[in-house]
Amino acid sequence: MHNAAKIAIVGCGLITRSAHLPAALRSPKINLIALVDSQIENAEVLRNTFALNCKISRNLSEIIDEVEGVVIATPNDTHYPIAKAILEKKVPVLIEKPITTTYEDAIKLCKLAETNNAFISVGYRTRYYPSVIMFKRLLDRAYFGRINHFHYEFGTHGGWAPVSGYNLDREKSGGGVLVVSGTHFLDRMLYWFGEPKEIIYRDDSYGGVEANCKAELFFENKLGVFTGTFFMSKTTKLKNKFILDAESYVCELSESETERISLSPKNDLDIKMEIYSNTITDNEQKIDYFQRQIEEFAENIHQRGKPTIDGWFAARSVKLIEEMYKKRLQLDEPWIIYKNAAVSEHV
Amino acid sequence: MFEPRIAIFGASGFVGSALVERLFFDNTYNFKALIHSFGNAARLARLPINLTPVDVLDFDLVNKALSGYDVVVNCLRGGNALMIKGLKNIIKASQKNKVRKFIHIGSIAIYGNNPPPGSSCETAPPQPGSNSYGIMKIKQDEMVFRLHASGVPSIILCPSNISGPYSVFVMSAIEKLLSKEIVLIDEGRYPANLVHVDNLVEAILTAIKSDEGWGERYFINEIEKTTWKEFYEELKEILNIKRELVSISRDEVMEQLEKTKNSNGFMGNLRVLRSMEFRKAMSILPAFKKIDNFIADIFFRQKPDIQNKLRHKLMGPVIINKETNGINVSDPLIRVQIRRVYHSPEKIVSKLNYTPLLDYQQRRKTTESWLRFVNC
Repeated sequence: MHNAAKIAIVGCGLITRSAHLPAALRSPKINLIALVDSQIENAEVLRNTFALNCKISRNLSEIIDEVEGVVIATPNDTHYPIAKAILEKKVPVLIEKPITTTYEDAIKLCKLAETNNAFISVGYRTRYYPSVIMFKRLLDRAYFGRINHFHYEFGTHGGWAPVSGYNLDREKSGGGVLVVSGTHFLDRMLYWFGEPKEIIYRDDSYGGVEANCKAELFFENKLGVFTGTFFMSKTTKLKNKFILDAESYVCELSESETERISLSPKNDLDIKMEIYSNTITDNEQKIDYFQRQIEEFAENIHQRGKPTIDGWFAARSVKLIEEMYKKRLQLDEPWIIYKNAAVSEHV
Repeated sequence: MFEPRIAIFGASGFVGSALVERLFFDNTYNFKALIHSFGNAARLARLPINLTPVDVLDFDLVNKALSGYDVVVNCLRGGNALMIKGLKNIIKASQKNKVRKFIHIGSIAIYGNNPPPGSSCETAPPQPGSNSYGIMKIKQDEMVFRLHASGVPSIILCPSNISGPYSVFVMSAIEKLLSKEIVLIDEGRYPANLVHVDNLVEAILTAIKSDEGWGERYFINEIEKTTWKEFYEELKEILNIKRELVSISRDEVMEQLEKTKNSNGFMGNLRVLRSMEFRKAMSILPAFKKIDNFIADIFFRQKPDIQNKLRHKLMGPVIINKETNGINVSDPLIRVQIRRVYHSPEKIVSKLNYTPLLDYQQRRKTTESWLRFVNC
C-alpha cells in the first residue's frame, strides 16, 4: 500500500456505503485513511460494517493534513463549502455529481483549485463507459452520417433513497430529477454534442422538486444542425435508452449497457448490429466504474494528470441546468382534471 | 361545520399520492402526508408540502405524527410486519389521539382469486382461500372493525384493480400486451373489477365527509361493468395494436393452476430439495458441500440398478407437461381473470351517496393522456 493514495471520504450516506467505499476498499491504489461525517454515528456504522481500522471524524479539519485527496459524497448543497475548505488546504477533491448547486460556486471552486495547484474530479462515472467513449469517437468521425435528431429517456418508479432525503429538497439538491439523475445525461450530452443553442424545458414542479421533466433542444455546431429531446422521470419506468437518428444509422445506447452500441442501417431497419470496442480487456470488463473513477483520482494525485471530468467541464452541466430552470415552462398534465386556483397560486 | 385535519399513512404509494394530489389541488383540506421512506416520494415532492417520514413500526413516532389530526386514512402497503404491526400502532395512536374518523384501504383479495357468486355484495363472508395477501387483509379488517367497536368510527374501502395514471397494474398489462404474453380467459368475458384511482380517491373523500355508514366494508368499483376483453381492447386501441388476443378456456387455466399448486406443495418442495440446482446453490456452504459429497460418494458406490431404483424413489417419475404455447397461467394478469364475480359498488352509492368523479369518457381520456405522456 506504500504507493496507494491516502484518501478520506466525507459523507457516510447511501452512495458511500454502496459505491465509493467498496470501490476504495477494493482498489490497491487507495489507502483509506478516514471516514468523515457530521453525524459521527454514520461513519461509525460504516467502519463497523466493513471492519475498517481507519479513523472516523466529525470534522474534516482533524484529518485533512493526513490525506492526499478527499472524496466528497454529501448532499449537493454542501459540496461547495466542503470542497472549498479542502482546496484551500491544496488537497485535490473528487466530488460526487453535481459539482455544486450553482454555476457561480462551481467556477469559484475551479479557480481556487487552479490557484492552489490542486484539482477537481467530478463523479460522472458513466463517462468511463467504453460505449460512451466509443460513441463520441464515432460521432467525431461522422461515422453515422449527418445527425438528424436524438432522443433520450430515463425513468424509474422511485428508487434512490438517501439517508437524509436531501434529493427531495430543492435547497439541498439544487433541483429534482433533472439534477439528481438527469445530470449524468446532461454531462454526456455536453461531451458528445456540446451546448445546445436553444432550449425549451418543461417540468412538473408545483413549488417542490420536479419528478418529471422534458426538453427540446436545438444544436448548431461543427456536428451539424440537429435537434434533441429528453424525458426524465422519477415516477415511471421508461425505456431507459438513448436513440440517435442519423443519415446512415439509427443508433441505440441502452442505459444499462456499458460497452455495446446497437446500430440499424437506415436502409434496412430490420437489421440490428451490436458494436463494441475491441480494445477492452477482460480485466477492464470486470471493473466497477466507481473503482475506475477513484483510481483515476488516485493516479492524478500522484501523476498530476487531467481528470476525465474536471471541475470546468462539470460546471457546464450546472450552467445548463440553471438555464433550463430559468426558462422553465409548466409541463402539461391533462389527466389532473380537478386542478384549480391552487396551481397558479403555487407555480 | 367539521373541517377535518387528515393524516395519510402510506402517502407516497399509488393511492396515497393520488389522494394527496387531490387534496393539494382542491386547496380546501388540512392534511399531512406521512411517508415510510423518501425513495418513493418523488411524485409528492413536486408539491410544496411537508412530507413527514414515519416509521410505523415505532409507536411513539406514529403517536406523535397523529397529534392534532382527527381523520386517518391508511393507504399503507408493504410486508406483513408493516401491514400488521404498523396498523396496530396506527390504531393504538388513533385511539390515543381520539381520532374522529378512520378510513382503511382494504382489498377484494379477501374473497380470494376465485370468489363464489354471492360475493358480489359485501354481506358475503370473506373467503381468501390460499391468497396470502387476502388472508393478511382480513386480519387487518378485523383489527379495523375492533377499532370501530372501541369507539373510533371506521370504514373499510375495498378497491379492486386500480387503474388510471401511474397505475402499475395498467403498466404491467401494457408490458404484457406489447410482449404478446397476455391471453384472455374465455374470450375475456368476465368482469375486470377495475376502479380508476381518481374515483377511489373520490370514495375516500365521500367517506371523510359522511356521517353515516361507519363500521362497514364497501366495495369500490366502477358503476359500469367492464370485461377483460373491453379493458384490453381499449388499451389496444390507445396503443394502436392490431393483433387479436389469444383466448384460453378457464377450465384449462384452473387445471394448470391446480398442477402448479401441487408442485408448490410438500412433495414439490421435497423435489426441489433433492434437485441438482438446489444442491449446487447450497454447495456455497462448505459444510453442506461436505455432506453432499459424502452422500454422493455412498450413492455412486452402489450398483447401477440400485442407483436407478434409489433415484426413482427419491425423485419420482419424470413428468413432462404438454406445452401451453408459452402461456404462464401463474402470471397475475392471467390469474386475475379467473374471477367471475363483479363486486358491486351499490352499497357505497346508496349508503354514502358516493358519485364517481370520472365517467367512462373521462377515465379513458385521463389514462390515455398519461400513457401518451410516458411515451407508451
